[in-house]
Amino acid sequence: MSSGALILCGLRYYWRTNLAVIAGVAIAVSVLAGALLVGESVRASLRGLVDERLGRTSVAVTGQGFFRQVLGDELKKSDGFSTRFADAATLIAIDASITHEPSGREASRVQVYGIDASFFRLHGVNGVEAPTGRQALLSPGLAAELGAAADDGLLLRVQKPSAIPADTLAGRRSDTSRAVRLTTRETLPADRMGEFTLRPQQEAVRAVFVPIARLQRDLDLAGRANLLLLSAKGDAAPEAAAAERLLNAAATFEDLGLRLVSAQAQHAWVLESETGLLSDSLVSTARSLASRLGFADVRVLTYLANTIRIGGREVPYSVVAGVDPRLYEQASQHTRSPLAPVQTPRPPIWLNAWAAADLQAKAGDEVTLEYYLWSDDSGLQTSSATFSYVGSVPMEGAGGDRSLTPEYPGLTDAPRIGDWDPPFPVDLKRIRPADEAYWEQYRTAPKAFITTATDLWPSPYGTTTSLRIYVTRSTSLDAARNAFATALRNAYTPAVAGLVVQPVRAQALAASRGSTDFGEYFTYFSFFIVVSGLLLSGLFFKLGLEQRVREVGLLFALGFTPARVRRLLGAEGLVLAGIGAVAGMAGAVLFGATILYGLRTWWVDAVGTTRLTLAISVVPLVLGALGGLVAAAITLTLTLRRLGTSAPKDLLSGLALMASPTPKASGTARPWLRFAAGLMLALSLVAASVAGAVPQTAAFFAAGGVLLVALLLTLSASLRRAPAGTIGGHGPMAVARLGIRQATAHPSRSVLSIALIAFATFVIVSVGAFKRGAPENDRDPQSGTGGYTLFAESVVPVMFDPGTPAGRRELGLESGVAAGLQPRVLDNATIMRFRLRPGEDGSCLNLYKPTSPRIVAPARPFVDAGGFRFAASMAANDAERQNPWRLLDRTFRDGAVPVIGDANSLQYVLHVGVGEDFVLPGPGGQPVVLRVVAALSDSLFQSELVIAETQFVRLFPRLEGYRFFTIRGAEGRSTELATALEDGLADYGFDAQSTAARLASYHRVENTYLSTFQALGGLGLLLGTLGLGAILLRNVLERRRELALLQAVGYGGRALGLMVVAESVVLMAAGIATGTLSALVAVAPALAARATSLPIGSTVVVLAGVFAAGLISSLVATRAAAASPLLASLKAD
Amino acid sequence: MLTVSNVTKDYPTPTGPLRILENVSFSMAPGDAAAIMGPSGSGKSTLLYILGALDRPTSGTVTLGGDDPFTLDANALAAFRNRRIGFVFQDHALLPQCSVLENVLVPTLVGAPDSDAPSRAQALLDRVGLGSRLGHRPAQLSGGEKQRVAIARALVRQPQLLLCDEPTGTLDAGSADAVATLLFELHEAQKTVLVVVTHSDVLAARFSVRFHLQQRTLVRR
Repeated sequence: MSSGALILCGLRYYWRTNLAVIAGVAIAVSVLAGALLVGESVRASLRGLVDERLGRTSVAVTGQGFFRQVLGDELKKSDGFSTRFADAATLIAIDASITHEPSGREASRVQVYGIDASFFRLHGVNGVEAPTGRQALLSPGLAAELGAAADDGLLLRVQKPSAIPADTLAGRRSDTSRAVRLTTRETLPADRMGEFTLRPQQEAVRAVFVPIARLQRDLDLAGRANLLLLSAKGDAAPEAAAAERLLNAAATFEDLGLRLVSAQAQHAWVLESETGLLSDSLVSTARSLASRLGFADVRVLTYLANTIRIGGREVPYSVVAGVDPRLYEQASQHTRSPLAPVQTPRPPIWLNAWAAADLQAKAGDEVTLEYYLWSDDSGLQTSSATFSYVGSVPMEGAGGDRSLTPEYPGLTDAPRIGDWDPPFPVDLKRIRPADEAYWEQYRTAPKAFITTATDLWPSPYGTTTSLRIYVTRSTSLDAARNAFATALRNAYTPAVAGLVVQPVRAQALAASRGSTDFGEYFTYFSFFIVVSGLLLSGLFFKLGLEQRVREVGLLFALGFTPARVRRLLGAEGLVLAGIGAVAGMAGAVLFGATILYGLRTWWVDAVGTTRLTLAISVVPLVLGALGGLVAAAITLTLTLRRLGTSAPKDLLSGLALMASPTPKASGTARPWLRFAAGLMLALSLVAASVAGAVPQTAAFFAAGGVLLVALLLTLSASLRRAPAGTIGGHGPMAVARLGIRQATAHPSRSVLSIALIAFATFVIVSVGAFKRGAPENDRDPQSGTGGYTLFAESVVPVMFDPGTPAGRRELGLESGVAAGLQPRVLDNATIMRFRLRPGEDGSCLNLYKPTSPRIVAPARPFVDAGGFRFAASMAANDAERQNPWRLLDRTFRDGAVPVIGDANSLQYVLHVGVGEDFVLPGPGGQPVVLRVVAALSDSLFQSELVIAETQFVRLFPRLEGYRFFTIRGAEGRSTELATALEDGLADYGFDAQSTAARLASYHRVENTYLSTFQALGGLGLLLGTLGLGAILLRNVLERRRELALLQAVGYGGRALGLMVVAESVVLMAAGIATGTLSALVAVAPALAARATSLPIGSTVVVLAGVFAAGLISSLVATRAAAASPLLASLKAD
Repeated sequence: MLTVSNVTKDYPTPTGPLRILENVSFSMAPGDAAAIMGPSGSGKSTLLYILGALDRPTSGTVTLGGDDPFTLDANALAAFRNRRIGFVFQDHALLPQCSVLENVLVPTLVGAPDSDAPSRAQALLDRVGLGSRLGHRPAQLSGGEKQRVAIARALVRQPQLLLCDEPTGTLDAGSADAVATLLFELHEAQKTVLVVVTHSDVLAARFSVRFHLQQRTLVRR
């Protein structure tokens, strides 16, 4: 007989015990591999969503402004396009709010796509006609949210795009939204690109697809688009660099928002920007290029003066040019000599001949300019400056040169001054016939020239309205233009202009790896199940060995060495573990499918999507199986270790491996010493935490863990110790005590049962303490809401401050329905404004890893008001400690931008801590380093990062205005306030919500994760209970002779049952009490910090369930005992 | 009085009932003692268990003091055994987790309350020579000592019938003799009906009444 045959015999003969060992390993592998499978499935599902939502789009070109719609077609025709790309489509993509007219339902943060047939062609979607007229195709999610059906009317509110920044004089600050009326044609299914989005998100997409022509018409964007999609050709790598090369070649000045206007009279070209202002960096580049080409240049900053006054004489509404007219003349003549300084008491001013005559100006006269200045804080204010009149400028030269002023829609294109449609107040009564005559003849030719314009009218967008490139008379204008334009296009690339090529598919696939590794999380969550499985496996293996202890003794007696016996039994164990691992792989699929089902249903709040499906993959299964095998091998090795230490005679008599029935002397104090030692260590950890040496949470959890181990050791010692009293008396209590005494017969088994239950109870109770409820007081400035009861977001930037009476007047909130109904609601409200850079949700609501999260920047009053609760900060002085929001003002030598985020989002989603950096792709693709200076505790800012307004304006100058608001109203009137603001600012797509509701949505995610953890902890607890049941059953079967004896001396079935139940109850109670007590220590800071109590109800329900399972196990064991022929075991023959 | 009348016992087997005992009849008065002998598998223990109301006869009756235990329900039967019958088994069957005193007291935890039980247990243990080892566990006792504890346990309820199944079967000669002497002394003191099943001729020789089980029937020698 070979060793193999011996092993096989053992496997076959002890099949019942072996089955239990296999089951234990299978459970461990199922859970371990299943957890990894869940992680892989979540990633695969997110990848699947990316594929479905991006369709064939691999690269996207997005701009801060709009480019020519034909750019896509031109790209397709360019050399090299077809080698890498299959198709291109141009779209208009904008944010909107939408109203479903039949029901009045509204949805905000809707993505509107202006498309044509090229969109469907690019994505290979056949059978769907592009929308025409006023047709709208809705994404399934939006259609469901609105309850929209075919032919239903829709009202879209969007921001009317404007190239001119709203926070400049010529920018529009009111009447900035447009309503677009549409009719629902159909819901576009997801497989027909109905869920198209460039932003990785797992939640349902709110999108509406409309004819691009409709948007172009309604938004005055004829021939323009702002999104270009490219699809990769076949398997060609979707290389963003290739797209960038093609774009660099195809993009025109118009695409980059620039224009070169001819000024033939001056033999010059004028470089202007659609925004009305050329950035300083562009001007610097262009001047350098002009100089290299031998062209003279002049920078001009023009502005509108409300009044030019000398004494009592004045000229209304005149263009003032910020240029020295002598420089202008020099450049025209291509001469450049140093200009003689003008010696005047005030800054010099020149008037053109017309104005000088009109004002009867004389050299030295004091000239006053009055003009508007826009400030986000105080709105439009009139300011003035005084100058000394130097002289007049002839109308034939600079004085009559209308090309000095760029085009401003609504102004420069008006036939009469009276037809102006300016974004600022104009008193038309001041317009004289002479002014109209001037306009008719000279249009925007400046009436005054100054040299201090950049000081008077600074702007973050630049201080140059036009750059004039003077060409020598000997050079043709066209040739000069070509030379200059080519050089400038090479230097000023689309990327520099903000036309960014994004490898959206690669980015989305990278993001689909997720901010949360679900495999890792579920491995943590399932830790106790894995441990329970392995402990049970080890327990059954040990029980099997005990069953075979005489056989082992016989092998020793026959000359087998302990090592040989260990190898034999170890080989048996490994075969069992192997079978268990294979079974576990099948179980892993079941476990994974169950967890994913849970994530789609019971725990959907944690993931916010029902689109997660199981993806069976070999790698996680094999990894889980290997992990389980290794853990099982270690468990078996530890169990077999004792074999060699037992004498053969003990083995043959069955004494070895059995728990020692001889107790320790009853007088020993060791159990209490163990407890005291553990308690001391736990108290030391708490003291270290109080002293600040160890983080509070870690210290208390460690203290709880130490206490748990100390209690288990104490119980272990107590069970091994002779009991103090004698079991006497009579009746159920006495019988129960006899049952409880059984726990001391096999102390290690009893401690194992207690430990399994205690560990799982520890998890359930401690996790339960972290569940969050509604904020206790949403008006508390030191709470997560900062005392703001509402927050709001608008589709269209709000340029006026709704928190001030003046701002409310400008916004029309002082009149109309809203104000009329609740005149005092708005007066008593505190409204804080934030600038907003849209981006990915940075909170736990987003499963994708955000690379470009939403950013908000509060106006100064918010920072000064302080408030909110901070979890950590870099505060270094009292002022910063008192109000950590001031940390936003910090400057770092390396240029990093201070940022504040919510502690949860920073830790679990962005994975950065205080003092660490997060790199954000900047507006032109350049990285921006954000340094975390403080972390908010459980705040309403979990979806966004907060930076200083000054930094925001510097980084994102084109994102003007305010779109995010925190609002505090009179107590009990939040709903009225929200309604008043939403109604009054409906044109802005203003959507206000309760901050408590927002916090609750975050808490739901957190609580759901905790519930998941608890549920899996509960499963571990159930396994522990089953282990307890197995131990009880084993004990009962081992004690058949004892039980038979008890029957013989008059114990009935009830008494025997009571004994078994009493033992299990005590073991479970010990486990639950140990786990609960330790957990309470671990979570004490959390309970204190939140001033909340444990969710006793749910915890008690779980623990009661465990108790019930334990009782059932005991009863099963009792029944098994009763069913076995007890009396036969007493017979001597 | 123990009265056994025409007791027959069959065990079911796949090939039909297997008869172990056939028309066994005898009676014993308080203070009587008898040994039952016979080869292995002859049905000695089966008869003893029927006498102790642990097993039912297929036919026939057993009465103790005129009461037929097999007419009782399960609870009453358990109480009957508890109050009126004492058992001593070959393998002492002590509870390893309980002390010597607790083992003796085990039968008093159920059944009718008995306030004198602790003092009686103490007295019995003094009588069997283990009065100084009340707190010891069975693992700390020798085989003979364990069996003495088992005898004390069997008598703690002052039963009418004391049944012993090979009480000296696992003991050396010296211990066996000591246990047997003790058994007789206590039997004499409590005037029980004593029935002992044994293979031991030495032990059997100490009984004036000896039965042999041969061919399923009981023969007095």
